[in-house]
Amino acid sequence: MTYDSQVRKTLSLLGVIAVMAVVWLVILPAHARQEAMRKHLEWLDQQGIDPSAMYYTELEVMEDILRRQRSAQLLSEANHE
Amino acid sequence: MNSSSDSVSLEPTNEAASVSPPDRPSLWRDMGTNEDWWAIWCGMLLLSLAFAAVWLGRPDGLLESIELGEPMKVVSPLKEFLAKPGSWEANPLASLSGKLVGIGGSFLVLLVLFAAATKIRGKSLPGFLIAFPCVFLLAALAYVLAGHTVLKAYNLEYALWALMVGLIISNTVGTPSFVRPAIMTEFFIKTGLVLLGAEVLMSRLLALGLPGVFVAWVVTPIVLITTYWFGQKFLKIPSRSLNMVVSADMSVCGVSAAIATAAACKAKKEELSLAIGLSLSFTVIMMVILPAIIKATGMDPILGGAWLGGTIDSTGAVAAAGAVLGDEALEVAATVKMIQNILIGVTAFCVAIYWVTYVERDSSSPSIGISEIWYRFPKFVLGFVAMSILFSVLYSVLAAGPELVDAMIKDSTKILRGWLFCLAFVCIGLETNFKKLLPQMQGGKPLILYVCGQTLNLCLTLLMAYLMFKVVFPTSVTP
Repeated sequence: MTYDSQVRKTLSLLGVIAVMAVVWLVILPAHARQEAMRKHLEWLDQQGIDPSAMYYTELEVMEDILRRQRSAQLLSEANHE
Repeated sequence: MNSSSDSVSLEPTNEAASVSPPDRPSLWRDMGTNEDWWAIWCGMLLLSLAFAAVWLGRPDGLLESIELGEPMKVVSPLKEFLAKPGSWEANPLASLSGKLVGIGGSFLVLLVLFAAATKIRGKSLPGFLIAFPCVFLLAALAYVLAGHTVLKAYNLEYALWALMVGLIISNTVGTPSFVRPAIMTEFFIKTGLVLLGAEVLMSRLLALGLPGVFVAWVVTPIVLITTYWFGQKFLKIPSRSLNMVVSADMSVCGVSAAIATAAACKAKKEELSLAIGLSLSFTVIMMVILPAIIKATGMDPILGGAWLGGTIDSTGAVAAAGAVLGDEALEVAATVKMIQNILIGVTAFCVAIYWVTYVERDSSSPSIGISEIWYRFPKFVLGFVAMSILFSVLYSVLAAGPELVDAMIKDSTKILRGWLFCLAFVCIGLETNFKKLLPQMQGGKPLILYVCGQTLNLCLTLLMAYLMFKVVFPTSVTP
């Protein structure tokens, strides 16, 4: 690999890192501060919902649902006995 | 992911395509060297330790509290020592706050486990010990990037950012050679899938009774098979594995189904990346549009929730869309999705069987023997299914099964599984050239496949949800 090629590749990486820094440290936080987005984020937080959850076990709200179902099942079994 | 070799490629090797290859290793030797078996051993070891920790650390009076109908909360003793970066809004360091011990613990557990596996399998241990911290740091960076609350709200999962982090390095300065010993994409994915097996709890199948089973377990296979058939017959997608992965992630449950199916059918890494990109893109659109349609048409929230749960790919997005319609819709949507989540074990197993018996068969040979099926079968799928069965049994048979298994998953194995998938996607990025991704679009055919399959999914799921929740079992879920 030539010196020029190495420099070009390093500059490419630094350029991408700079773009990412602007997006993650400036644009996204600014978007999060906007009134509509802030309310939406607060609502998601209150509901216990992480929209990026990949599987049901990663979802806080699912824990609440399953806990309710478990309590209902145990009460039903206790009443049956 | 070929069981017959330790090849990095997800593609079937020529060796596997042969009907009677010479000098196959004995089962005993295979179990000691093959990556698939090692994924099972590593996954089983982690699950055993995690369950033992919860069992030994269970609180006194747990059984009594269950008998009273108010079970005590069980917390794994490992909870403090395993974590991933959390969410943040203005300062990325906030995602690491209070989690450094847990992140360090996760790093140590995975380092020791995979270093031992590397050593025993006769690979370079010093190389791995130097490389793994670098790959883990990149995975941690991906988690921090994914933790921004706005990105999470748009359902942009860590898999996407892990892939991006790897791609940026490999396509700018290139992946350094000293990092390569820790690029073990398939090993990480397979071990993660064995851990995921413990989360596939069959006892949750009947959480919504028969209507839930019909919506999630009858419509989904029909859509999957029809979409795959459509892709082969009409779109003539050259890669069967790409067709299968797109069909599965669209019809079952997005990224997790794509990972499991790609491993089962030995798909290329670029195909998995493309399928995940398609799934995430459409999920963002559907999680906004579908609730709006349901509201605009005045659809019943229970019916609407079932429709959302059966159609939107990503689990988190289903909950977000369901919550827009209210608590009832949220509960039905999330529960239908959970039942559909459980289908990935069966899907991976059936796809693996189909692949070894039909897709990889030799056209000149009319039939394939049991030994040949066994030889080609991706063995880690057995570990995945076995863990699903084992933990489903523990969940149902033990008096405090739900509390113990849930605590184990929530406080330990779910976190390690997430790290393994994140590491795998970083590795995919580190091994992928942008130029290799574009040809996977194959003239837009995967996009057409996704749109057509999802259209069928929307129609069939709505019809089945209507029949089940409004006609046949109208009182199964009461407001």
